[in-house]
Amino acid sequence: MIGYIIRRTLQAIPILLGASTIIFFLMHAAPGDPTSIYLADPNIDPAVIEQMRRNLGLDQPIHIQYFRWISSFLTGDFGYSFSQHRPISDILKDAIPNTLLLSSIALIVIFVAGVVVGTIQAVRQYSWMDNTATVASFFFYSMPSFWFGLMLILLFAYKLQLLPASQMTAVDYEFMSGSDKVVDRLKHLVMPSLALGLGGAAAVARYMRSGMLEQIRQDYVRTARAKGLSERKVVFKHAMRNALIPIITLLGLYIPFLMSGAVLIETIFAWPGMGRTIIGAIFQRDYPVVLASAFVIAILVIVGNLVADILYSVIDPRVRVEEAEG
Amino acid sequence: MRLGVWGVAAIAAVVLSIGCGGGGSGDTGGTGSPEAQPADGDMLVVGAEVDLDTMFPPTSNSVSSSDVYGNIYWYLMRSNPDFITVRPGLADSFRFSEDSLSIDYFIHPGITWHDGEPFTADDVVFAHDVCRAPEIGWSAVSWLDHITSVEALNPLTVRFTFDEQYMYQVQDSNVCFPLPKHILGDVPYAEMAEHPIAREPVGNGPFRFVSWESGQEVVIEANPDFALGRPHLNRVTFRIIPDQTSLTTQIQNGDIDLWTRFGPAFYPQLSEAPGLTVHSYPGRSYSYVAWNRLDPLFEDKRVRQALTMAIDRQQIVDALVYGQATVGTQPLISTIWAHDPTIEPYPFDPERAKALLDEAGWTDSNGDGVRDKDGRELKFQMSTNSNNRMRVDIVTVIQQQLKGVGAEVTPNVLEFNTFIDQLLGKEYQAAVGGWNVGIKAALTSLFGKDALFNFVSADNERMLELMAQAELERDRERAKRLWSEMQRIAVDESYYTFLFQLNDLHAINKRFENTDMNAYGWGFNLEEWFVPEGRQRYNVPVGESPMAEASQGATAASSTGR
Repeated sequence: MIGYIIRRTLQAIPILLGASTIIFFLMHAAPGDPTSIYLADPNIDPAVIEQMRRNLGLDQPIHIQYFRWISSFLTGDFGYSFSQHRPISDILKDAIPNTLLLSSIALIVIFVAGVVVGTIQAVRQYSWMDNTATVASFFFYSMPSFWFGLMLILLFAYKLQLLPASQMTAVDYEFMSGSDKVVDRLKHLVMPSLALGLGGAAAVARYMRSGMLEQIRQDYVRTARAKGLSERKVVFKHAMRNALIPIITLLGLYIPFLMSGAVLIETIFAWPGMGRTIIGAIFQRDYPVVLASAFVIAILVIVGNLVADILYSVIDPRVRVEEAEG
Repeated sequence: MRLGVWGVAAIAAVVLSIGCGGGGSGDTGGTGSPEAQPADGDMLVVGAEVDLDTMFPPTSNSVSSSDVYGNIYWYLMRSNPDFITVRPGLADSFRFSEDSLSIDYFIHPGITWHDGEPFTADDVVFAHDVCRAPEIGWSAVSWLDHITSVEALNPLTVRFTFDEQYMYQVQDSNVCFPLPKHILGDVPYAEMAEHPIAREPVGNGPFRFVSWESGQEVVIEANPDFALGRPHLNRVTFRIIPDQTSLTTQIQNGDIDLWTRFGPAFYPQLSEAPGLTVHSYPGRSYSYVAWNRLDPLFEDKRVRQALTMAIDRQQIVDALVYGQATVGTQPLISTIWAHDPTIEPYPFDPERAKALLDEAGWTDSNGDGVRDKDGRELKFQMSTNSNNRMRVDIVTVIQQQLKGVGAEVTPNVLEFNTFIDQLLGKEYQAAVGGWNVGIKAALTSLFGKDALFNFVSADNERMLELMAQAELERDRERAKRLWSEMQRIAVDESYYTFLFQLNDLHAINKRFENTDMNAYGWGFNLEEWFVPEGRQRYNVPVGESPMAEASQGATAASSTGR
């Protein structure tokens, strides 16, 4: 197992390098550069723009810029943000935990809600609960998350005034007592994590429902029932464990999706995470920030897939990681 | 008249200084009831769409940043909304020398940096060295071109010397914010942008820094030791909220108190919202249609004039901007002193437009509804940038309107940087764009020979002559006449169709009093805003002064942090 993880990690290195290199050249091929922000004022002195280019090293030929960037990158120095005027490691240190907090809550929403709803639907197939849940999950699944987010804001923040519209904490958070702070944080998490997670939960519920239905009809389930096991044991111990296998694959796929899906949600809910960082950086042609964030997201994709592969072996004894690789 | 116009300004400034300082006389506009008494306390929550870039003024390029650090750092003299006269800042007054080649500024006694160190003339001298350093790359560095020296005559007097007498001597000596020499004095220029002071500024103004969490909020609070009197508000919190729907919701349910520079699309809703006051005044930006003269379609100025008259600009202002703009007339907008209010806008007159096009040889010879000349049809692309919804709508409206005179427009919506590249490369046909303009009268960059931004390829000889003259002219009235003639030529040539000058729109909660917002900015007199005792909402204390902390043995500079 350890050997497998090491091998997979080594395989990831050329992928990461290749992805970063492609992004580097794509970004530089896009029109404009970080000094474009000066171009809204007609009275800006072109000499100043030239000076800025020199200060940022943008006057160098592209291959020089590339080797400069890659060599500092390989030594662990992500560089310095043109637009935020601070080291990128500081930017990532601020943004990553915020995104991880939001995505992990959303991930819990996706899987807990999805698995529970899907299981209930399968066990009570064609009941009113099943039918309602089917309609509801198609509704949530087909809905764009940003629109859902806006509707949540209009309903809960504007009309009902029950939940805060955006941000991570209230404006007077600093002056709250310890327990109020926890409540305040949770209140701020409710809407963004629902907006981010419900669509995924609906999809997982569909997978889970059909997976469970398939398993329940299998011979081994009939055998289990025949030997007199309680329905609860049959469903949860035997059928569910097998129905979960495809869901684990989804888990691996959802980790990077949460990163990208969070771009819109982070903007709508003013959540200071990776999504907003990378979008802002792309528009401002802040090359080093784009590269570093893309690198982080690429790592998450690879880690997500690795986690999914490892979880397979945990949940399904037939699969051994060594085999999964071949 | 040796003193020139600035002598008058200097006297006016001294008179003004009596009224300033204590602040809060309650008569400078604002929201309301005359019986409201100024009181200290409460917090202003500002919704900002974009995060700050840095709070080190010389390297900052963001309005969100200057909205904040402009209250932490102050200038010696502060501009008035006319951008000609000034009011006292850290200096009480100033005096021109006999030959008008130097100005002495007299700093108000007792001003300190927020860490407790005294603010002196040396800090002003030091800041000018920083602002000039090429390693800093300050975008306004050309404003210092005529300043030959900055020297401290004594701790409270600083002298600026110029290579000639000209119109902007006071402005140019008040664009580079004084910086704390005792903190930055030993830092190499190339490293200043990364110094902790860029994220945790130590200023000298009425508000001091409390905290900045990236992408979330920036907090400043009243500086209780400010020698010109503490501001009334205890705190100002800037919440970074990038989504406009969220901002609209939050200003209406009271989560935020002020939404600055909101888009005209929100005007109908916010102007009728109870509890909110909307400030609207002509701002410093305008929208235009640029016609590329290198394109044979737009070679003839009659075509450009005709297309201008075929665009109903008032309709665009009413329908897309909800009336919150003024139809454009000339390149120098109303916030600039050289603006000529007697220049009339081209009327909306499709009949005259058609006649002009006929005259220029553009007729619909094949009867397909589109004019043509020498086998070329009057069909062209109109480019704009996709991240500005209003511009995209403008192109659509213009497309409809120009159809009426037999011109066919194809919208070409581009990503911002691609759009800019196309403009500067003169690879467009027509384009809808906008300019944010400064405070000086200047047209060389737009119409000068080989100027970077002369993407309309203007080459009028008389204009070039006038530009050279106007820039040398020291008498403001004579200069005004030169600028006026220049603008009339620009209007006649119609390189641009000046669509409209946009209003700045700010919505603020009614509990705030004495909020004077004008072309200078929404925070023109932030230090004088207040909330009367009974209406205060937040009970947030002001931290201790660094003097008190220092006497308790705390470290000075960094402790202003949190």
